[in-house]
Amino acid sequence: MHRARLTLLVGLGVALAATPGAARAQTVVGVQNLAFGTVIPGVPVTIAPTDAVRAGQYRITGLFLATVTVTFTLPTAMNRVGGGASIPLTFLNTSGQWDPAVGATTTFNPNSPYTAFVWLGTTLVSLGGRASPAPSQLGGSYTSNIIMTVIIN
Amino acid sequence: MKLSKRWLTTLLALTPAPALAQGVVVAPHAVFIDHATRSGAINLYNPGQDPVEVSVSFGFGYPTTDSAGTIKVEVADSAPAGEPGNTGWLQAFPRRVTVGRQQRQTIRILATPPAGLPDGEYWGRVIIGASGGKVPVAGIPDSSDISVALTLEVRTVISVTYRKGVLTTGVTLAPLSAALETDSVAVRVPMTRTGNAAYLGTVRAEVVDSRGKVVGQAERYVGVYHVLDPKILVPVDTLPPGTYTVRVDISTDRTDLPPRSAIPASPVRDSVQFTVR
Amino acid sequence: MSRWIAALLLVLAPARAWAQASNSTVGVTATVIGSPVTFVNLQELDFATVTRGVPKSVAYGTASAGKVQVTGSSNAFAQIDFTLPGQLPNTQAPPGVDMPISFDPASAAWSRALDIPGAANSFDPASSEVGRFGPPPRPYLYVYLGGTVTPSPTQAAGIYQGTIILTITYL
Repeated sequence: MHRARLTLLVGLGVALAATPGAARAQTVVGVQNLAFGTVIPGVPVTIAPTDAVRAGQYRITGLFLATVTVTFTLPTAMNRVGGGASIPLTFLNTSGQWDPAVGATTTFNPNSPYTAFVWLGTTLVSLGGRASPAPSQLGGSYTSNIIMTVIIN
Repeated sequence: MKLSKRWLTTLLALTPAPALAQGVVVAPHAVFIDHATRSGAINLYNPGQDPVEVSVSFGFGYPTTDSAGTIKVEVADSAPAGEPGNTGWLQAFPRRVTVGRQQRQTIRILATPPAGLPDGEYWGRVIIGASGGKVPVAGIPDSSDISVALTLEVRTVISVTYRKGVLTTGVTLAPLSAALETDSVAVRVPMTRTGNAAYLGTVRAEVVDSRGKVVGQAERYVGVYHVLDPKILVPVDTLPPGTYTVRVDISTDRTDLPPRSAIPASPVRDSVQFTVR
Repeated sequence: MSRWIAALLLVLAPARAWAQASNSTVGVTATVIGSPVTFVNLQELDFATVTRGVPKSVAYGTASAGKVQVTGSSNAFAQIDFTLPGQLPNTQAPPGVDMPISFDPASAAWSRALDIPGAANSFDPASSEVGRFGPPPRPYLYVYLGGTVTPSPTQAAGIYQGTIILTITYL
């Protein structure tokens, strides 16, 4: 029985190894916006990556024993829907959080590439940031996008 | 026991500089409550390093103009008879609160309008008072010195408007007038509101010389609740003698209000000439 | 057991040789509430210690004057009203022991955009005044207040305390 289970495990590993990385259905999905919510002009708002409700979140799945590097294309501002204004955005040294299925949760600086080893399972990457509306900030909705690129080494 | 002057001075110096650099952010500066939701919110933020005590109350008032064309708001405890006031059926939660340093606080405004309230707009003002720490006086014994300690309370008055049903608004203009006053052209813009809701808009005025060149322009937000005859001052350089035209454009553009707060209406335009001798 | 796991890891090792990139996007969103009104009490009207029989005045342009910074919509107007005490009660004495305080018609002022009391518009704090916020990027309105206290030659010792209310109405 014990031997049979090990055989199965090895078989599974061999099957995985024989499958090209791209075909393993590794996926990177943005699952939650970085939402600053209601902002008062002149009052900066900082969201921590640990904020489960407001932090931006990506989910990486399908990796198995891989070294990956994540990089972000970070906007410097959110733009007003309809134009006419923007709100500066900054990302702090601890605005990124790496939360793998196996291993410790760590914070990182999203302004630089971050490299980590993934054993298996789903990894959740969270992103906080700071919005700094001006005292005379025009009312309305503001949006921007953050792109996360995952390179499997 | 008497305290020496030095001790008293020290005590006063140790007094937590009452309200120094204290303040509060109040947003928005105009609250609109719809009959469907019957609630609104005011956001407060204390940017200072000390707690601020905030109180919320209601009054009634709207902009009017005096004979000089100055816009003012007289705030009364309640609406006079015949005026569509809402102060009697609005409540703030909480009415008193201490906002900690660099903390936010939301004040909910709930409306319980009387049954059978006719369609229309109902007006009021929210008075948000804020003050800082008090000068501690207890425990200071008799002294030969005389000290004066003043506490400043700042109140911010913003509008609160309750809306029910189909609302319309607009303004009609009586004849404009314009005259040169020192370094400005003073333009009187007598407006009368139409419809069943306040006209929230912007008056833009520009002064044009005989060749069509714009020599001055100004704009001002206005709220016409019944009538308003504001004096708009258009700064100009020295104007050579001649005939000038003032063009006035009134629209419901209000960049300072949340989108869709100002009820749209067709723009109103007019002009008047004046002479510089 | 460990032998088998090591073998498994060895078998899997080549999987990491294929470099590939994937990306995904999340939005950043915020809703800004329309222009707020903000005030910051920058400076108290401070008479400090006074001498019996010697009136003490504080001019609005001095470091002892009251000073408030109000922030609002650029170029918008605001009504400024003061509620002023006429007497300051002695908080260490029975009721009725007061000190007169007065505010002359030039003891208040407002300045738009910049904190320059020397260039401010003087006004009588007993009356309503209309001030204006500065243009972008300085939508500020500064309000200044001075005053005079007049202790009598026999003024009782103690702390005389009062409250000044400044009301800012957005127009």
